[in-house]
Amino acid sequence: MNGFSGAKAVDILEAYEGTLEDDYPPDNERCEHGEMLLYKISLLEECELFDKALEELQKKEAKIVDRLAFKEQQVSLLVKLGRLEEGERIYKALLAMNPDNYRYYEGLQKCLGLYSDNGQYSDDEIGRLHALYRSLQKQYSWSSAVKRIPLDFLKDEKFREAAENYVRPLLTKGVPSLFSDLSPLYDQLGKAEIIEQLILELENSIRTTGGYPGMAEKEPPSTLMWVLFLLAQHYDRRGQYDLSLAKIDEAIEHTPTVIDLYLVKGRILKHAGDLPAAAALADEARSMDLADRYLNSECVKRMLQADQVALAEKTAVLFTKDGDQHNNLHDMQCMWYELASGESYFRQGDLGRALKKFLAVEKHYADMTEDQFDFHSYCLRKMTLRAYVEMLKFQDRLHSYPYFHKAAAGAIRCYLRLYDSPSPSVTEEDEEMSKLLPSQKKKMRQKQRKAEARAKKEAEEKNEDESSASGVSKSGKRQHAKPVDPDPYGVKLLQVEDPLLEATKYLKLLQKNSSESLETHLLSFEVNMRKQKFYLPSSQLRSLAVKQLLRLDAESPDSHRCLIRFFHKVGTMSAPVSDSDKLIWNVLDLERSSLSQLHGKSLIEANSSFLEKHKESLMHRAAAAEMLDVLEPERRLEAIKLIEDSVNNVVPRNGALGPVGEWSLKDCVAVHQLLKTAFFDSDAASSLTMFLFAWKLFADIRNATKLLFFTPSGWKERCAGYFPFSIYFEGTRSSVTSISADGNICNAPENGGNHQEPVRSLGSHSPNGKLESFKELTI
Amino acid sequence: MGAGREVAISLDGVRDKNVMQLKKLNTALFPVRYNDKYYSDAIAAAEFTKLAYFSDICVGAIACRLEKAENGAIRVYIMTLGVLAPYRGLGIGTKLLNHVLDLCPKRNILDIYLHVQTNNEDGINFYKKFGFEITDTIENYYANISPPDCYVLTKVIAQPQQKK
Repeated sequence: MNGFSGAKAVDILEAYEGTLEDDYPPDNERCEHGEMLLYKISLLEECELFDKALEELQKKEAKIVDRLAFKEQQVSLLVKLGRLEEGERIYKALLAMNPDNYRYYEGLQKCLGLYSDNGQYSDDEIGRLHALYRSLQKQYSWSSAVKRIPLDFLKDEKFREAAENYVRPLLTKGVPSLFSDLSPLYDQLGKAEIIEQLILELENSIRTTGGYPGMAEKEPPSTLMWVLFLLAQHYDRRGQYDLSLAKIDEAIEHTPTVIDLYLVKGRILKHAGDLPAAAALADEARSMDLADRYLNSECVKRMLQADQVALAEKTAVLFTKDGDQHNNLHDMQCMWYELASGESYFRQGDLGRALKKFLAVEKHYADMTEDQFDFHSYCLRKMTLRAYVEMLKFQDRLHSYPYFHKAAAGAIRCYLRLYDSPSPSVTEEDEEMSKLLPSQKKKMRQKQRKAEARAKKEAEEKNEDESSASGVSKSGKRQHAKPVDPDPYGVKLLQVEDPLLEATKYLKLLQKNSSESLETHLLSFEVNMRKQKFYLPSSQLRSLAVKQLLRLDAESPDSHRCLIRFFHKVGTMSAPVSDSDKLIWNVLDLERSSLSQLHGKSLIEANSSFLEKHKESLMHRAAAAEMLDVLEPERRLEAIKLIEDSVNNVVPRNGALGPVGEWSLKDCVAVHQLLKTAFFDSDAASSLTMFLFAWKLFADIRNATKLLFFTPSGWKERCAGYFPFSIYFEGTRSSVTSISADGNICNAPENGGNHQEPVRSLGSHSPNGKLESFKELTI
Repeated sequence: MGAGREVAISLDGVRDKNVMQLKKLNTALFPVRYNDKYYSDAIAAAEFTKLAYFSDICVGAIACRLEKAENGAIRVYIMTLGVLAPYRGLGIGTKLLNHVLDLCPKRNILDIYLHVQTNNEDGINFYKKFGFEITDTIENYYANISPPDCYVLTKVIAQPQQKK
């Protein structure tokens, strides 16, 4: 808002006040009047007339009903006017009202000149902060915020002491959320090690004496279980899945009835890369309290992550209203569910249903935009002006919310894939068909047609059932039957004429609302590369995806890839013909020389200096290798060797247990995909060519074989060593390797040792949380 | 007493929504896997089947079956009573058994009985403290554990009108 319209708005409000008799509103409108005054003051504040705002606030104090809002407004103005001592007094008064509001502590620190945005303080400041919080702790002994905040700024021995005092009573009490409360501390250097040591000491002390170190009093038996629970989450966070699983298994053995233990074990397995096992654990947790919606949702999410969509749907529906089943999740705008199932369909290549889910989320945001119209007249009538303005501001940034971003990005990816391989199901079928004899083909077509007809009939019947079920409500009144979804599989969504045009629709929304996200510009790059649209009008050059990517993160491997691919493509295009094309060509040339990465360098040189700069990082090496292959295909073997030679360094750890490699599971999967798709397609002919080529190069069959067999499977084997629980790499301890011949999963990850339990027949006694057998789910 | 401070122990009923808690306990406590009938009997016994909570953690349970005697009276059979090992010695088993014993006179229960393996001295002594007596011995009661014999422990419930 500019100063002029703000001042104008204040004038209008004051003119309205002038109409009141004796400058006083009727008794039954006092709240509304107070709201109006607070709104007026917030307008003055926005126009930066702080003096005037404060004066008005003091003058109208008696008429403002909302005392809390009055104080918060007052302190905000005092701070803006630099009257910090008065501000301090009011923040203390606010803390007396609510000693768990972090913003009040922040404000108080600001008034005392003890606040920094990045949380970095000098030793002297830390000392003063420590003293401040110690005195506040005496005043507000029941507040948890006042105990937790010092952990953020204290260091070393003082941190250790405060952390121990903080953690002890919470472990005795049994607070399942303790780890997520502590987890932000893991981003600060050295604190994780201190926390590890202190929990290990608590564990040791309870095991030997039954109480905390230095305490005569014994702890209740549950404390050991909570300590193990915390330790398991600690090791999980540190990537030490072995230790983490050993601790959580011990906790489950100690007290097998605590549901949180199973949830966390599922989460650990998810991080370790075993998604089906994670889903099974979440389902075990769910089964322990069937009335808990959170457990149900968590379980559904895990099932979707493991691509068990049908099972997830059945489970989710347990908590929707009867008779309305699946539609209910849509009507309730249950977006996490729609996004997760969209992602799952996308992974499974079902673009139609994926698009359907992503577009459903997009529709919710359109609905929210529409819904604001309900508030315009309502808010004015009720005089809730501050809430109204807040709502308008919320609407302005509606499309920048993460769920919308995910949905739009998902939809764009679907359209990109659709463009790259139009209706994949048809081509695949054709391939299958071409291998068959004509008579077989005919039979197969008939079979397919029958199957399709059956499926259609079933769907119709089901819809009828559902509509009749929901049609008659409890009161016996006939309700308006829900319209039947005419396109349950999203087939129509796949029949778009121009997928790139559709993608552009959502891309524009992302560019407008999430311009600070790297992903937005990566998608924009992919869309525009396919459009072959380099000849942008010069006014649009600013929004060139490559430039945006470099602005956001010039060192990101993805930005590097886009930079090289873009100018490589430009370089291979034929010279422009028309005058306007020539002009843009020149502008692009100019742009190129303005980029520091490419200044005075060839693309090949730029690629090798990028590699040199980041040669310790796996993902950067992979990007450089991929680009080397794009720029100089004849150096492919060298490119592959670049990846092969990457070293998984051990993260330096101050005295903490066990080695952990730097590489993440996600990155290793990405590299495997790259090796599979970019360097080694499954085509046997190209493998042979590679082999002959390698042989010629090395003039030594052993080396050539070695390099050749450092194919994706070599990488896979290597990663299976780093991530033994990973399903993707078929690690030795993942649930996929323990599937026996009859398809039953018998030997699940065992606690600690390598001993193999004798295979038990299904349906026998199965220990808690051990995944002996994946239960046949019946709901 | 293992704990140095008071922790509230509360009892809650078993329903189909939380029956898994009882299953988890039994898996940890007993070498036998109970069938579905055990669980439907336990739920049908309503007030006579209880889970014990130690500061919101389910750590023990008593599961009973109500049986009709010949004369139309009701007998209570204790199918299982158990507390997780780390939580023993805190009076939780006593609390569970007392709950059922207190309930019996109010519901016109004739007697209450159970089976104990003959070598389970701790178990036998525990029940004797509450007035149970060995009334019978059944040979080869258990199929897979040794010794296979069990005692029947019974306590006759004093009816309210007979009191005083």
